Formats: sequence, C-alpha cells, structure tokens
Amino acid sequence: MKTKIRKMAKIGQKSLVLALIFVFLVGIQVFASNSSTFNQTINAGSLSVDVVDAAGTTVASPAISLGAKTFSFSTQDATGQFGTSAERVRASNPTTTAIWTANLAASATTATWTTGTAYYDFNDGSGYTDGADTDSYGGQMTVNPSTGSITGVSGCATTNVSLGTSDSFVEGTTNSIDIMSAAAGAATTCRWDFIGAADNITQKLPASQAAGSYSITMVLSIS
Amino acid sequence: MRKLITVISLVFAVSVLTGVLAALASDTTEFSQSITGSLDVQIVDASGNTVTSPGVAFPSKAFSMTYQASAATLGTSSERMRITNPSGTTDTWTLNIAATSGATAAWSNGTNYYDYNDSTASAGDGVDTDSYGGQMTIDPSVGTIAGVGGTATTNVSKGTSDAFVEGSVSSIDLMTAAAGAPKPGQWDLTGTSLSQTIPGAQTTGSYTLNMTLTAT
Repeated sequence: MKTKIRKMAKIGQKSLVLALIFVFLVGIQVFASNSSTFNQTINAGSLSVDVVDAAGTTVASPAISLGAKTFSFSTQDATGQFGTSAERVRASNPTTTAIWTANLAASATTATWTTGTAYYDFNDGSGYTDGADTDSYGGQMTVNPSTGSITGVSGCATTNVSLGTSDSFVEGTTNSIDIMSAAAGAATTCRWDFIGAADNITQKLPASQAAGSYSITMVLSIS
Repeated sequence: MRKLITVISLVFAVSVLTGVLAALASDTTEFSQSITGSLDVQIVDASGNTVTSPGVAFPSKAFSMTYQASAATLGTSSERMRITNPSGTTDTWTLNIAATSGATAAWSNGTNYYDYNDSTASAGDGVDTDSYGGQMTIDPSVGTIAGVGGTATTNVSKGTSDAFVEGSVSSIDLMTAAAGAPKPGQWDLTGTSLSQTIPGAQTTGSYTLNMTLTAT
C-alpha cells in the first residue's frame, strides 16, 4: 500500500512539474505573440520648390500675365507680378542643412518670348535692341524680388532667410536670378513662401514689336 | 500574400509617379504678354500727333455761269495720312477713301448742293439718283509714301487716278501693300491730288463734304 502511495506521489510530482513546464512555455508563447515591433523610416527628403495657392495646394499650371500693351513704334515696358497670394513660391527644406537658394531662369539661355511666329528676347544685355548675343532679338527681363515678402510656413522662422536683389537676365552672364535664399543659421526642416510685390517683373519690349500673344516658360529651381 | 504585395507595390509606384509629375508641373511658370493692335489709319501732324479735326480746304472760287474745277491736296506735312500695320503675320492691306455718307452724299452748304460722283461731262447732272452735277477725281499717284521709323516702302504702292461714280466707283484706293511688304510697319502718304468739278451757276456759299479714310 505504501509503495502504491509513493508511486502515486511520484506520478503526481512528475505531472506537476510537467504542468508547470507547460504553463511556462505557453506563457512565453503568449508573451512572444503579444508584442509587435513597428518600424518607420522617415527619409531626410530633399530641397524642393513649388508654386502653391494660399491653402498650400500645388498650382497645376502656374502662370503670370504681364500687362497688355498696345503696338508701338517706340520701345515700351511691360510689367507683371511674380509670386501672388494665389501663386506663391514655396521653398521646402526637409533637410538638416540650413543653406539653400531658390532662383528663376528661363528653360534655356537661348529661349525667347514667342507667339510662334514673332519673337523678342528676355536676356539681351542691350535692353530694347538686339545686342551681341546669339539671337537677333532685343528685349530684356528684370526681376526684382527685393520688394516682396517671405513668410515661414507653420511657424517657421524667417531668420537668415532673405529676398534676392533686383537683377536683369543677360545671356551667358546672368542666366538665373535668385528669388530667396537661406544662410547659415536659418531654420531647417522648414518651409517658406515668397510673395512678390506688384510690378516686380519688368520686360523691355523692342520698338515695332508685332502684335500678338507671347509667352515664355520660366523655371524655378532650388539648390 | 504575393498578390497583395504586388498590388501594394503598384499603388506605391503610382503614388510616387504622381508625386513626381506634380513636382515637375509646378516648378515651371508660364509668363505671358499680350501686345494688341489692329490695322489703323489716322491723320497726323509732322510730329505724329493725331489731328483732331482734319480738313482739306479747296481754294475759293468765284461764282461762274460755266462749270469750273477746283484743285486741292490731300495729305500735307501737317495733315499726313498715316497707316499702321501692327501685325507680324499679315503684310497686305489697302487704304482707300470714300464719302462718309455713301454714294448719295453731296457737297452742301445746308441748302444748296452739288455732286461728287456724277460722271456726266462738264459737271452736268446725269442719270444717278440725285439731281446735281459735279465729280471728284483723286490722284494718289502723284503723292509720296514715306516709311515711318525706318519702315521700308518695299511692295507698298500708291493708287492710280480715279473719279467717283455713283454705283460703280464708291471708293478710291490711295495706297496698298502687297505680299512682301514690311510687317509690322507704318507709312505716311502725302501729296494726293484732288480735283472737283463745280456745275455752272452753282450758288455761292461754303460747301462741305465729309470723306472717310479706311484701311482694310
């Protein structure tokens, strides 16, 4: 009888040990499947410049119209506004590098205003008349960003972010004009909007320029 | 699972592509400039200023029982006919002159009349719709065309002498530009000869007739 009781006790002890091991293992399994590691990488991104509306939405086809002029046998100036509330230039710097410059250039230094059949220049150093550049058209565009304003988006500070100065395109010499730039000490991972003042674009029109609807594509770049 | 990953990859790719396209579209700006203007004719002075009330005064004539002719010049240094073609694509145009009130117009002092387009000889009244004699002849061929601001006169020519005839010659060409004329361009015409026959026994008075220049 005693032997049977001992055997029963041993079996009970073994069963208890097995049960404890089972509970321990299941417990570990529950702990293992109970947690999950979520990974998220945020890349630094890169500098970009965009034309956006007041709500910050990209403008699909940004454009500005210089004031209509009447045909004249004399030279004349046309003016327009680059950077309005509805078409503001937004510089985005998602990096940790403070320094950048946003500028404006034509799609090529040999570009011209054109109706398709008539032309005038945007970068002739002679101004209204044709100079020594590669084309045979007069005309010159001046961009004056200095009269505009810079606003930090979502509270970004404008410290060390500054407006460009007035300049005129000259083929081979001044192929782009700085609109705004950030110097050392400017905020990083930030965005800024440039809105220009009225008549910050002046285009010299040659005398006797044929009537028509002219256009030229300008490109914003940031680096 | 593989299918799900493929779909997710495609969605991501399309999303990235859309983002790239949007960025490309928005970093260019189209500048546009309109230069307006249309074919135009004006009477201007030597400085190019518009003459507000241009006129041609035929010399006074004494009353006469027989018909007579009066001559004058259309287009002087101080009242030159200036045509402006601002087009860069169209080089042909014509400048003509006609009576403002049309084929039934007449010289008038308010109570008396004589005609400007009756082809009957000796300023007699013919078979036209009015009962007045008289005819005006215009000869631009004796005039001078000058390009303004260095505009060349290539393929720009003066009209030939012609007389108004009711029903058949209602306007007379003064100057025309043929294919190959400069465009845009601007030209002045001066020295066109005018001659008007006055019927015999025409009542004394100050007669006027409004004429209109048209460029087309």
